[in-house]
Amino acid sequence: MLSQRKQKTNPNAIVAADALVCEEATLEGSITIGANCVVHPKAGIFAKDGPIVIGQGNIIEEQTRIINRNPPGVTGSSQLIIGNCNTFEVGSEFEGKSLGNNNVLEAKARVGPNTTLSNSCVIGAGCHVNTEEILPENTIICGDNYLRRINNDKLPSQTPQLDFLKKILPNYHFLVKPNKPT
Amino acid sequence: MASLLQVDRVQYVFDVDTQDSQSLSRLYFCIYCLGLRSSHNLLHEDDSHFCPQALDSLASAEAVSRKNKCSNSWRCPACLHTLSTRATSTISPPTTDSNKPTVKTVYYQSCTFCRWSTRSVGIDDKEVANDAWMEKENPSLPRINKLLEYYKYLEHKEKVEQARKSPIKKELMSVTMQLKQKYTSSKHSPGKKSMFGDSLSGALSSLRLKDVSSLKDVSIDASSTLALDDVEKLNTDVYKPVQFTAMTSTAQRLDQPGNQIIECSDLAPRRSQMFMKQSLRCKICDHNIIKPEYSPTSIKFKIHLIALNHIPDIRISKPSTLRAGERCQFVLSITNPTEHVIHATFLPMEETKHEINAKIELPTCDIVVGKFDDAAEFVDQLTSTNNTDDASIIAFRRGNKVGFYVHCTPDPALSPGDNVWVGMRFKHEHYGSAPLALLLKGGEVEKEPEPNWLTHSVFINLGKIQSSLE
Repeated sequence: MLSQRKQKTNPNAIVAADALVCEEATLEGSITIGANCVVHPKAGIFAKDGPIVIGQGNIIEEQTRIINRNPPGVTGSSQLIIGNCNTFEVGSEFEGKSLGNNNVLEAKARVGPNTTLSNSCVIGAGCHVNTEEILPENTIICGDNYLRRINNDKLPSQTPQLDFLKKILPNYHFLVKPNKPT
Repeated sequence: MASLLQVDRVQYVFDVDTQDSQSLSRLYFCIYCLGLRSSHNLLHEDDSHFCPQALDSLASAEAVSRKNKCSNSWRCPACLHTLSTRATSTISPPTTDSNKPTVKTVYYQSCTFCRWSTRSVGIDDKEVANDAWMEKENPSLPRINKLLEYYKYLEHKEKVEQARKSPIKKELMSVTMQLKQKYTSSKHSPGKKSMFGDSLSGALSSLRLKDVSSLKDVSIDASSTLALDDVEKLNTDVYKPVQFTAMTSTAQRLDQPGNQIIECSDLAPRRSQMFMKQSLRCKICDHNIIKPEYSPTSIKFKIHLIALNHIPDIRISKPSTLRAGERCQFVLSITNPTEHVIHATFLPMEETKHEINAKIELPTCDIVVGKFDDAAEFVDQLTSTNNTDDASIIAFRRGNKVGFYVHCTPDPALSPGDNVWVGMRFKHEHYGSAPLALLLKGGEVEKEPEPNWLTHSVFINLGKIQSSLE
């Protein structure tokens, strides 16, 4: 299979100055990526029915999908806002209404279109959440039985991981040139 | 793997009286009384207790005194998974002597699954990695202990009273039996265990020897009672809406039945329970069937008499479509796990309780199955030129595995989707390990070891009847 070394850059993607977006990531539609973000190769951000605004310091790992899609029957475009310092682990999918700060979507977690995550929530590995609600802050959902807990602890910060990625990733991947609008 | 190999399709009868059957992989074989045994008709004895996380082991008596809990492994109270100890370093403010702030390593426990940690409930970080955490004690434990002591005292008192009142009846036991019962616990006779378990019989035996004069007078205060008027009124807080995330779930509550915690903020880690290694013993001849190794890191066995190592395994090798009333051909395979060549003879099934809804035509002559050879996979298998197998009976022959044809005619009254069961008996030899034992002792090996002929009843589920449209 011949794969193109350089993909066509998406003219609608606005990438901040010190954000690291790999060229192999798929960016479709109007996307704004904030400062200090890291988007791994094979990540997918699809702004199908409206723009996506991603805040600062997020880590979006491989095979993730962040989709802004209208629910069936609804027309018009709405913005999907993702906050700061979120972690989308490998294989996670986010189609929800919005995301706050400091959330963690563990590997293969899925958030459906009805849910809104507030701050510091953790969706455990493999959990599919699609309840029509705004998850309260510090909620942790994990396990086969979708155990729900309120976490009293602060989640560990992602800064060491971010620093490491910013050092290593440019050595092995082509990056999208930042193009902040003037 | 059990579902991939479909082991439940072929059932071996292990109990002649009740005709209970089980797949061969779940059965054991006693080589002394030459019979298939299932775990139901074997004596289970606990061998050792071990913790899979800390990999330490305890003998049975010690485990009972520690309530079967490991001293170093802990469980998360929120999700019941294992807790791991984490270390962080904190900087404490500088003391008056030195100007630099001191850096200390402190430890806390956190669960990698649900992210619960001892910090979230307010338990202080400890300075030592092990032996620092305490389990929450059962608040009624002192009362229970006191009650137990009191009842023991009462029981002994009553026994003494009874012995004094009624004359000692001369029971139909000889003097030696009486002395034996009085002074020894029943632990020493192999295979015959007392009904009540070791700890209780130990306690009772100690009671037997006590003199009347050494009895302490134990008394307890009765539990307090309240008059109806003194009971406090129901707190109206009960009617407020419940905050579900602050209350524990039933599973979390019942995980520590001794002190059931209601609020999430009071959750405390608990010690994880130890696993047990069992040894199995044949009830008839009292020999050990399974005896595991003591070391917790080892999964091997000292004695490992499972049926798969001794009895040939019959499996369905090639299925075929079943239709009611039609004759179809199947290939069954028989695998010989022993180190001797065996001859398998097939016989029709006798009257049995199991439902058989098909007729089976079995090969009439006996089938020779080669022995199990460890080195066979390393040696190139040359096509055997002396292939004297009857092609109408033998489908294939590979080392110690032979496939043979059977024909099956399901009952015409069956409907699509019904399972088709056939039954048969098969006879084969079994060579004991006596020659090997003689060889090891240095004795003379006899010319030909005497085989024992064993007959097994086997039921096979050949599959479901296909609908005639397919």
